[in-house]
Amino acid sequence: MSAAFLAVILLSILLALLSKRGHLRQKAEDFFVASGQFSTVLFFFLAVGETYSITTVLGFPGGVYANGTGFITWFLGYILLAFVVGYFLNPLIWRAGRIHGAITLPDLFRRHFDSRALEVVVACTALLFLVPLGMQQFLGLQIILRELDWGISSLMAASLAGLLAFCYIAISGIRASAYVAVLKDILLIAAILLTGLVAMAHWSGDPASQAAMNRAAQPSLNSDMFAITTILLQSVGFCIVPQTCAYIFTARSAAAVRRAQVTMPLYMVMFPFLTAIAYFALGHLPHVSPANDVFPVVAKALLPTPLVGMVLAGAALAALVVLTGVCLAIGPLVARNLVPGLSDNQQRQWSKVVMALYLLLSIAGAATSSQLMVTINNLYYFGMTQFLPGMLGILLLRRLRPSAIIAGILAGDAVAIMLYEFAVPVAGINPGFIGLAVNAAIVFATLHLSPGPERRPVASLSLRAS
Amino acid sequence: MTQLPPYLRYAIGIGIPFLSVIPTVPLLNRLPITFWGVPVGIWWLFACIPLASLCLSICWFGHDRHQPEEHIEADYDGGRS
Repeated sequence: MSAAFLAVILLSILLALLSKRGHLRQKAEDFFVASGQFSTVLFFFLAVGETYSITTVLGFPGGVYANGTGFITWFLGYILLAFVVGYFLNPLIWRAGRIHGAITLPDLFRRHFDSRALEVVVACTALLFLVPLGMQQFLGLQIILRELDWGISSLMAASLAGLLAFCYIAISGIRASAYVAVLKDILLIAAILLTGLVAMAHWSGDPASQAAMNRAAQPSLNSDMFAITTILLQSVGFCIVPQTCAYIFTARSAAAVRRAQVTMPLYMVMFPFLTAIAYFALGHLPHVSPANDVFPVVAKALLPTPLVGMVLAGAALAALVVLTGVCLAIGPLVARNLVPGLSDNQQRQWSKVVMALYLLLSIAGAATSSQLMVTINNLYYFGMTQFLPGMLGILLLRRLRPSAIIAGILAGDAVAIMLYEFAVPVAGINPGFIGLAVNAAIVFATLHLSPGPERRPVASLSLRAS
Repeated sequence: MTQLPPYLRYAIGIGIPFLSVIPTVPLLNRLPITFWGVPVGIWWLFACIPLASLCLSICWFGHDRHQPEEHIEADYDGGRS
C-alpha cells in the first residue's frame, strides 16, 4: 500500500518538474497565471482539480453517513449550477482580466476603478476568508496518512505534506499545480468509481436505506429556504472567489473557458458513487468514527492493498493540489496587492515567503483544531460573495463609485457575520444571502443617487477579430 | 447553420438547469418515494448532472462556437507603481 502511495507521489513530482519545461525563466504572470496560455484541457483539469478538495472526497460520504441525505440538495445543487453560471460569467471575467492585465481579483478592481483603497479592501477580505481552507486540507491529509499506518506523528505527516506542496509551487507555480491536477483528477475519479462500484456490488440494501432515512431530517419550509438561498448564493459566489478568478486568467481564450465549462458538470458523476460508498458503510460498517473516515475505511475493506494505496494517494493529491491553488492565490494578494511597488522578481520571492508562512499557519491550525479557523471557514462564502456587486460593476455598469463597492462589501460582511454569530432567526435564509442583499442595495442606491464618472463596462466592449 | 437566438441561449443554458434544481429538487424531496433508500429528489439531482452538460453543449454548438475569437494582449505590468 505504501509503495503504491509513494509511487504516485513520486510521479506527481516528476510531472511538476515536467511542467517547467520551456518555462525556465518565469515572470510573475507566468508563475501565477501561466501568462494566460492554458488550453481548454489544462484549464479544465486545473478548475475541477481545485473544485474537489479532500474535504469533498472525505466530507461528502462522511456527511451522508452521519446526517443522511438532507444536505445533498444544496451541496450538489450549488456546484452544478456554479458550472452553469460560469459558462456565461467566466468568459466575461476572462475578458476583464485580459483588458486590465490582472493576475489577482484585487488587480481587476484596482485597474477598472482606479482605486487603491478598493484594491486593499478586496485583498484583505479575500485573505481573511481564504485562511482556513489550508487548515481543512491538512485535517483531511491527517486522515489519509493515519490510514497508511506509517507510525509518524500527525504533525510530522502534515509538515511533510506542506513541504511537498511548497515544492510543487517552487518548481513552476501554477503550471506545476495544473500538471499535478491532471494526475490527481484521473486517479481520484478512478478511485471513487472503483470503490463505489465494488461497494454497490457488495451492497445488501435495506439496512443501509433505513439507517440513512432515519438520520435524514424531514424537509421543512426553513430547510427548503436554506437550500434554495444557499444554492443561489454559492453558485454565483463560486465564480468570483480569488482562486477561481486566478484559474480563469490562466486560460488562452474565452472559448477555451466555455468549452471546459460545458464538460465540467460531468465530473460530478463521482457523487452518486460517493453516496453508494456512504450507504455501503451504513449497512455494513455501522461504527466508523469519525464519520469523515468512511471513504478510506470502505476502500480498505473492499479493495486489494496496492489499490488502496493509489486511492489514498489520489485523495492526498486532492488536498495538495488545492493547497497549491490557495497558496498561489494568497501569495500575490500580499506581494502584489497589499505591498505595492515590488519588482517582478520581488513579487515572486515575497509570494514564496507568504506561501511558506501560510502553510505553517495552516499546519498549526490543523494541529490545534482552532475554533476561530472553524468559524471563519463557515463564513467563507458569506465573505467571498460580497464581491459580486463590484464584479457586476466591472462587467456591466457604467457609473459605479469604488466607495460604494467598499461600503457594500463591508456592510454585507458585517450583516452576514452578525446574523450567523448571533444565530438570528431569518426563516432559514442563508445569512450570506441577506448580507449580499444589503450590499447590493447600498451599491445600487449609490449608483442612482450619486453616480460616479463614466467607465465602459467590460461586457460592452467589442473585441472580436475581424 | 442557424444560430440560437440570444433569448433561447439563456433559456436553455440558464433557465432549464436552474428550474431543474430550484424549486424542483426541494419539491421532489417532499415525496415519500425512495429507490434503494435514496429519495427521489436526490435521484433527480443526479440526473440533472448530464442534463446541465447537455444544455451547455446546446449553447456551445448552437451559438457560441460560431462567435469569432477575441484577441486581447494583456499588459500585466500596466498601471503598477
